[in-house]
Amino acid sequence: MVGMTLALFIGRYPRPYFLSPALLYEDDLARQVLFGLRLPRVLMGAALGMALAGAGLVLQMIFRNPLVEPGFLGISQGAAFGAAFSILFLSGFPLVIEALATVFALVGLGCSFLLARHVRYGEWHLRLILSGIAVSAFFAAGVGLLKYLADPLRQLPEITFWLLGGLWGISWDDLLYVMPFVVPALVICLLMRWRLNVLSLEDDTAFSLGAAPARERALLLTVAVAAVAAVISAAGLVGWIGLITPHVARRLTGAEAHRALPASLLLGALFTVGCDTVARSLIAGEIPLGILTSFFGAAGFALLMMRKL
Amino acid sequence: MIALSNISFGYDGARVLDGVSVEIPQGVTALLGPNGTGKTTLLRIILGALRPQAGTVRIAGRPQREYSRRELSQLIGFVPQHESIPFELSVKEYVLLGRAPHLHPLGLPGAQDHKIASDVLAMLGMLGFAERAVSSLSGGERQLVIIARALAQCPKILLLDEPTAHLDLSNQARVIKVIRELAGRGITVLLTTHDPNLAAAVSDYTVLLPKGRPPLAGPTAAMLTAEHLSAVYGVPVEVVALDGRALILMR
Repeated sequence: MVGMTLALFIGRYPRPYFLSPALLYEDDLARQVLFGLRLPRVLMGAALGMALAGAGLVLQMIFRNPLVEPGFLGISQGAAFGAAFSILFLSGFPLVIEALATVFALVGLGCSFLLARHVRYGEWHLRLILSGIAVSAFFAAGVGLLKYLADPLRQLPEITFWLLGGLWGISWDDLLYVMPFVVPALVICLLMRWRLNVLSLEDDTAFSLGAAPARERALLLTVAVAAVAAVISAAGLVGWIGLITPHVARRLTGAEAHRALPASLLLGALFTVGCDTVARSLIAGEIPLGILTSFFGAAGFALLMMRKL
Repeated sequence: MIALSNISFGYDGARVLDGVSVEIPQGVTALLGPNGTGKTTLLRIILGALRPQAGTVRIAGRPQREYSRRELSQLIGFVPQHESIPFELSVKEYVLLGRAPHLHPLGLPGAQDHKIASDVLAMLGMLGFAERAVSSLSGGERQLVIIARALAQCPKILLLDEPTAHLDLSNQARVIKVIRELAGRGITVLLTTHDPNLAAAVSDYTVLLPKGRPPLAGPTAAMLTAEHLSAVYGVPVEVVALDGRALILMR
């Protein structure tokens, strides 16, 4: 909360880098900037970070693979393809875009999983990562084709937005479309956070502990993918949050998901809001959010790898 | 305690179990046979993780299919041959997972569950390891922790798949001692093994599972004879009596 409140007062109005709270009493524009522009953006940043970090941890535990994240399993690229497909052939209406993004995110995940089962070499972790890379590349090619087919003046800029990733232009309306997907998904994940430990065990063991592994994992995967697809359809492709945040959370709280999941959500929100605050404040122009999350995420990941994951 | 009647099962058309009928009494029973005779498959069928293609399983006098998944998990604990724990849980956190059958799917373990997990660890002499990461334990300690997780379910039946595979002699002795103690506490133990000497050391009752033939079952002393074992393993075997126990040697 402190971090998010602080982020509201950091920006380039009326001067770089701080907006004095006292100004809110006397400056109409300052109020407009803070409540009309920065507040929905900060809330969306928090939702984006929580959805990606939460989904990252859920996927890592369900697939029993610490190297998994939405971007590695065809989910993010699938969602981007769905959004681009919707803009080009169906509708630019946010709910339609979100629905298509969710469907193609699930298709991406399903294809990665099925392909991994048929790869003939390497152990499961490696097969899943390789399959995810192949499926992501397939959807990336699809997005490229859609860009080629898109109307360069009307549709192309909108599609390009998903590829860059960022929170500029986020309004209260966007939050209205995204939160109904993200909030229930995160609540379900949080309610099942201890159960997640059981689901991270092998099938027979999870079964012997009374779980219905296939059904419960499918439920968690569906809600995690729906949350990711919703934030991606609003904020575009933002990488690394889903991979790095769960690792840092586990370092801080231990691997038990009862503590690691809330920690991951909190860190995801802080990391994303922090990066977005830098993205909109550091220089006069806006740095795309995906560049900053990739830069800090990759650096953090390299550091963690050197100290064992 | 467990009665299997005409159980058949196969993978991709290859029949592994063909009309197997056998009764598992209270005490320790060893399911003994060469590799690939369906020991683990039979264990998974009793667990309920595999549905037999034919035949019925009765547990404590009741058909298995009449039990809910939750009831079965409260009744049967399972120790797999390989338990990989992908994330670094502490021993206590891992053992607590054994309380899952007694909790609501959205529930969290409470004080009573923590007490049961601690009691089980204390019973196995592992309480001092409670805060250690499971990944930091030796093979024998790790196996005891996996057994502790299954015991935290408070099961009446414990299924162990090759419980001493990959363990050195001292750790094998530790696990055997624990299995005997559990039987003394009234838990029915069914373990699979391909090692007749383990069956001789630990079991009261042995089920011999030869390839392609009906199982032979009876008290361990009566089952572990040179004649039976030679027929089951297809190699000449000698059985020597040592301190009142059978020692099985390959001739």
